[in-house]
Amino acid sequence: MVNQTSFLHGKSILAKDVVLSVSGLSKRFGNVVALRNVDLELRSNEIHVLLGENGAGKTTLANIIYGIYRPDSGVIKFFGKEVDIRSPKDAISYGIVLVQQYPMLIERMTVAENLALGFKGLGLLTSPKNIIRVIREVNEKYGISVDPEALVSSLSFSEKQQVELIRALLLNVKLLILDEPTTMLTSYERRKLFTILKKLVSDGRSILLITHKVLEALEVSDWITVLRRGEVVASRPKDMYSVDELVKLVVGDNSELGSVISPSKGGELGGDVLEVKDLVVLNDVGGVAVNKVSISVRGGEIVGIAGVTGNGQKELSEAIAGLRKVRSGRILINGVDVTNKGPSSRFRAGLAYIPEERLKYGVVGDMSVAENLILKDYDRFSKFTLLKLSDAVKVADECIKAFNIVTRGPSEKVKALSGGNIQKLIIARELRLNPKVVVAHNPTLGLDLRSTSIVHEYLLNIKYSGSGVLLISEDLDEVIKLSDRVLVMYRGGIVYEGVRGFSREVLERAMLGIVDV
Amino acid sequence: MFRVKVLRRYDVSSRFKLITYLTSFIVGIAFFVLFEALLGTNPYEVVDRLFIRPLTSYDDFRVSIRYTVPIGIIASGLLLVYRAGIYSIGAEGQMAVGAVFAAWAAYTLSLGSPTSVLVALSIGMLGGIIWGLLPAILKALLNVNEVLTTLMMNFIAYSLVDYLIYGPWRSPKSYGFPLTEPIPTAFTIPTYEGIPVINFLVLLTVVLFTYVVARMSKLGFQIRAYGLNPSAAYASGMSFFKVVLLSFIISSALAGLAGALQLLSIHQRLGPKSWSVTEGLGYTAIVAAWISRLEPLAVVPASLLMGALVNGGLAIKAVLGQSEGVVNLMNGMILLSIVAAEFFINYRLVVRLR
Repeated sequence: MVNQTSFLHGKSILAKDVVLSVSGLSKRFGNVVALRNVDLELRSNEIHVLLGENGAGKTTLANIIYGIYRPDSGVIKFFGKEVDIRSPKDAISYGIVLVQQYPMLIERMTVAENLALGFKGLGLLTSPKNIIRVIREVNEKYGISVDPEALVSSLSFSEKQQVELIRALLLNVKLLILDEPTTMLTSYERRKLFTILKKLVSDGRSILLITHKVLEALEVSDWITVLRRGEVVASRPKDMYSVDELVKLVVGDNSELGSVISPSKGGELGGDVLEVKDLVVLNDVGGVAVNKVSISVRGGEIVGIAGVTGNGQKELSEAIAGLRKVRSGRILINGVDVTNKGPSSRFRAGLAYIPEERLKYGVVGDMSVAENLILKDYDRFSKFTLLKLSDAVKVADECIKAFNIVTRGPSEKVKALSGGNIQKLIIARELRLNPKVVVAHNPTLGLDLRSTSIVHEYLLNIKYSGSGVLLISEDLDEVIKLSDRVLVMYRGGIVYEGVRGFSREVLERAMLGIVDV
Repeated sequence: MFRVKVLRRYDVSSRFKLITYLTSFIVGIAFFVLFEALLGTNPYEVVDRLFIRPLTSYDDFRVSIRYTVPIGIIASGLLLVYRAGIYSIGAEGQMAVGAVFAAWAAYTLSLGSPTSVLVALSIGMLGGIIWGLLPAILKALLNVNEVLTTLMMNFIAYSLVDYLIYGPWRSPKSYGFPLTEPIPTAFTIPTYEGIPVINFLVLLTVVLFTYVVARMSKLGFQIRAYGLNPSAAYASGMSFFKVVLLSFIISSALAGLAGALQLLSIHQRLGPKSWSVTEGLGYTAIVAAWISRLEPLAVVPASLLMGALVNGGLAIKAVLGQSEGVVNLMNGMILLSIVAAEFFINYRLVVRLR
């Protein structure tokens, strides 16, 4: 624990009021200590970054402040008064609003309709014009550019996030908590978000921003608190950290995090393992999401698909995995035509799939680790029609060791695992099937540094073993780092294709639909 | 003034769940007893007739077990579909049709015991399957809501029975009552001092069978995966069609079996409403399946309890001269309180003074 008071010497710090103070906060989940004796002070007009790896306890802390969890012990004071926040509703009544990582909006309603829900400031019977007017005022004041009359389904991820910010402002927020707000944003969108946030704090509000990105913390914050394994390891003004020191504080004295992997040229390329020809796929509301896309992936290469969320990547990956019907075009896996066949024909042909929504499509949370590891090839663990779970447990033990899955054992329910470990489990299951091609959609979304680098290593190993990888990712850095070829998807089509050596700027422009000829 | 707030509960322990379910069950019974008290009945007598005697007095227990067997057999099948996340309420109709098919076998085939019984039971199961197949196919192919289709199939089954007993199968010797002829003795299943021992052994076999299917088989694995996360089950290549169809077939075959057993051993003829073979047990079994928390072995105590309650309810009806809705009322109250338990597990109420 770093003693905070030793840093309270600057005038500017003393001048600010303490908005939120948390002291001695602890929280356990079963045997796992999520937070241990956490102290935190957040001042007015301040962007306070809560920095740490996944599983460090950041989200737990935010959820306690927002009333989703109750702490086991500890005191929370808001504007000097001790408060007992029992639910998000309580939190909102105090002026504390949490913006979740994924916006919670009703897609088929307009922005104004969404914001009118749960907003009591206008009375029971108010004309839509009133709320639209209020939204426009907020937009103008903070430089937000969201059309109140637009359907939410037509908005980009970053616009949806801004809708959540407007909602918080309408709720008269005093303390805004943002949980990993930048994971899905391009660098342009991220800068825009930060500009808005800075305007918000200059207006007397405070922000608690949760992130695992060190550089981002330094870019946006006034004050940084570092959490590691549920404990506060440092809490000081931003200027009192150096980058190296901050990285060390976040990761701990752990050298295994290690070397940045540099993709070598790899071996010989094999034949086509995945061919997508003139693929047309519709989205949920019947619009064309993927428009005449052709992609081929050969054994021994990683093909990256970059793009801003919502440009057809989801529909493309679901069509390849067999979760979504194809309007026209063909999909061949290792030479086998699997167009509009079910998922089982695909993994028999050699496809492994790492879905973006791992809790929805990747695992059955209420089933055990062992059961989830045999979710696809349970046939191999059965005699006649009976399942031999003891064999599955043996395989699970091996997988847990080989993939370093942190779990209490093969019989633990998967929903108790952290995101990174669930992802390792999915990868372990998919790789056990000896795939010819792996389709990975946002494979490191929401994962911490360590898990991310492990996932990257596995993807590279797949490539070196002679199989192909289609990496569909909204994290441009990841695409650049791993891919041998990059395709950029924009509005359902491929607008740019480049081989290794691409410039970040060209890709970013292409992601926004600007293609230099 | 005070106001009540509904708040979401987050961390819920399994002990809390168990206690909540047990409490809610008792509360359901308590509401029923309270209702009886409002009718002017002595609450002690209600509890005695409802619970104590059907489980402790030998004479009453002999009758309770007659209800326990069909409830348990049907609940065993229902827990498979419920585990798959399919909410069939069609066991009542499948049971009725099972009895009709078994009766047909008894009236038309001339076979000697015990082949006769085995054949009639198999044909009864076939009847149940036929009745379950339409909702199953509609669900598997078009994802048609099974609650509606299975419920409607129940009414069609009732009408089928009515048609037969008022029409072609009406016995000329029944003094004008809409009853069929008693089935030939070669097709009857004997009871021991009125206790359907053979039926009870069938129940135990069925429980073991569903235990193996639900807990140890590939199908049980697929069923559970679909029930817990249909998206992941589908993405893993499991067939929705197969899971829906097979779980439906097993559950409706078991409902048909229950109907056939009741016909061959207890009723030995088809009749209307209160003399019917099903006696509403196809609905009671839904309650039993949920009380068992969809655990195959827990179906035995759950169906013993529900069998006793049905018997007790009928005793209340007979002794206290109340209408036949009494048993349905009790079932409904118990099921409602179990549903309420689900609510209290996910939410809590906070009362604040103003």
